[in-house]
Amino acid sequence: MSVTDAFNTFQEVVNADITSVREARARRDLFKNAFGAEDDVKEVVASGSLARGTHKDPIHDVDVIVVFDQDAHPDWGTPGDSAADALNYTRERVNTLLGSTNGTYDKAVRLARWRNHAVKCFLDDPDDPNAFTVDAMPALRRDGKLLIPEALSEDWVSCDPEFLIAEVAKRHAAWNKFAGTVRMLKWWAAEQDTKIKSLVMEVLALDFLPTDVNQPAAIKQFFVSACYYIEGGNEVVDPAYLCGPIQPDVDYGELVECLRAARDNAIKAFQAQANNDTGSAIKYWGEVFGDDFPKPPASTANPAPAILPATPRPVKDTPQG
Amino acid sequence: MPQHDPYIVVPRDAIDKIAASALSGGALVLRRVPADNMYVVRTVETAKDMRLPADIPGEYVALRSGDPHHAAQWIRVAANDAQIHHLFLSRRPQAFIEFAKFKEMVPGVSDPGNGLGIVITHDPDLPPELVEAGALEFAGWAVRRSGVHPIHIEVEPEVIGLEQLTGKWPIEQLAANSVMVVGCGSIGSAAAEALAGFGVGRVELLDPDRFLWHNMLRHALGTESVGRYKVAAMKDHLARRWPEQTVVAHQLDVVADAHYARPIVDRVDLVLCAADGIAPRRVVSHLARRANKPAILACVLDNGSIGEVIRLRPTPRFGCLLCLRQHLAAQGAMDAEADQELDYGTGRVHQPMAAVPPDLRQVGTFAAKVAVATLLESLHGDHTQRIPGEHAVIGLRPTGDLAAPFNVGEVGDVRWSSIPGPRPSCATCSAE
Repeated sequence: MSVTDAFNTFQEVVNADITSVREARARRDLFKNAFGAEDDVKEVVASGSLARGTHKDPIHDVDVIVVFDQDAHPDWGTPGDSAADALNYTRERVNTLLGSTNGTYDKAVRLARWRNHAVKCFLDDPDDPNAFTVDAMPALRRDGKLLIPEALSEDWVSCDPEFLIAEVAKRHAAWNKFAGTVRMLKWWAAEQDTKIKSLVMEVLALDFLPTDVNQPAAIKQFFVSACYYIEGGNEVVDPAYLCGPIQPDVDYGELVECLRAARDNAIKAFQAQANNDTGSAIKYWGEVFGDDFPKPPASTANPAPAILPATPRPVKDTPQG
Repeated sequence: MPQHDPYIVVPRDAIDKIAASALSGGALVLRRVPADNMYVVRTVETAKDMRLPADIPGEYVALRSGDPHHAAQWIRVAANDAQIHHLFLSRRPQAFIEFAKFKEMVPGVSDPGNGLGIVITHDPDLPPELVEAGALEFAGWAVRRSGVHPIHIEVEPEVIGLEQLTGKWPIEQLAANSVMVVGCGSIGSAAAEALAGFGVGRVELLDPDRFLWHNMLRHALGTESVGRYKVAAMKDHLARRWPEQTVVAHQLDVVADAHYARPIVDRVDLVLCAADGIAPRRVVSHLARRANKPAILACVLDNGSIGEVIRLRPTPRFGCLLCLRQHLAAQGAMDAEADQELDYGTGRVHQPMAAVPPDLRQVGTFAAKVAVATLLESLHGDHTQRIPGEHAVIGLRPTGDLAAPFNVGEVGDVRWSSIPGPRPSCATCSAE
């Protein structure tokens, strides 16, 4: 097994099951079509990792943004009760259009509850281990940006999820492994002992995941540069510079430690590969990504361990002229 | 081949002319440079009685000098016999072929009479395994009636310059990066040269001064530049040596012209400050921080006894130059830079220059290395370019009586340490 084979195999592990992806897209389209026919809705925008193609397994939710007509809701968009009003209104429309008992468009949603920004819609049996929600977020479009309600602060805040979608699309157009590699980085984050939001990894990837080298080299470069950035005390903020820090409560000390460990193992893997030591390279990538990364092939002919412990190699005399 | 044998240099244009010729052989005119015992191909017969000059760019001064009109030949050979013999004979000092046998192997070779004939044989179909073994497509021969000796031939390669490092050094990545060099004195000129050598694609030089006699001792520039503005002269100097690089010259004082410097900082990836004095360094520290760009500051301290290179990162963990200086002053390590305001480096009688040229060159090159390492680690994820801290003290002529962290004891020692975080009241680090 080559390092490339190992990454291809791991990519299959990281990628969401195609059945789940199809179901997620169908649910997104259900909401788009149901709300798209409403008189006071201007557009329904697909958002979240599914829209960016960076969703990893398992899919937890599907995001849609319901952009309402400001003229139909003149009170919305100002501080006060209108944030909760918008979420209440959206929840009611979900119930009317898609409620499992009386839905006029489809009878799909068992339960709809609003959170800080969006209405979380439960379509699955609560006991289904593969259950995932559709998060419908009401919004107004102003100056090319979206204004969304924030229940906790009783206010509306600007955001630009389309910016991130477009940036990821640009990177993926430059390198067709970009989105898949982001899924791997999100997988890595989920494996850490400290809570690291997936979106943190996506935003770091925008800045530090190169698009002009192969996948192992790109991941190694990502961890080196991202580590440098976080070690400097920098925060990870909304790439559209509208919403501030992505995860204000993240423990940056823990994040740095996680990144350092990943960086150092990625460097060892990269150097092992450069030295044609495929077994060690795969082993070190396994140290980065965890038990689901393929194991190096065991030797069948030699009773000695397949992977020899890494020792410092002797220096080479290479005259340069 | 013995070192006293003549040497043939073939410019690329001559190679192209020979390779494209429909003839099986023709005349060559060589220039001989006696001092270097070198022959340079100047004219190639490309068609019957048609002799064309080989183009040699003007900057190759040695290749364009010498005594003209030494007649020679080029002969296309088949079946690689000549090239194999050339390879084997080259490895056996004093070995030669009798002229008659050489003439059988290379038909068309002229009888040299009592003189020296020079022949270049060309085998365009040399098998790859022979190339691997060391055989050459073009081989040179010193032809005498007493015997024919192989002589070395040097063909101008297709790729010269930094492009030769493709795949071995990230020249493509660095070609897309830019650095602003503030101060083009002794350290700054060395840093600018090193940045070019590392392959940084664009360098913006900023300095208000002229290059004068007292600068010559320690500067990359020489007599040809006396009287010129340093930035203009350095731009020409770098253009000659590193034509791949873009150099922009700004005849500006970073303190007096800070408003002009600010947009330059905005458009580069990093600022390297090698300017003398406290004020320029403080201005660079402030401008770079406000522009969210890393800055590398390089200087010598204590009359050139130690070098100092600081990496300022515009992040919450690291303070600016003033934060570092105040921290060092509070520790009793630094005299608030007071000595450095005394016209250091101007060469005036009351404050003679103390640092030695190679020491300053070392500090400038070191600063460029730190700058390039910063770009490669932060922007390109190059794990081979991580540096161990943000503050380096380099032993140049260490007296051994300085307070930490300046207490390096030996020449060549590099002491790395971190730098403190921003002070709460710092106008540079906390201002919006």
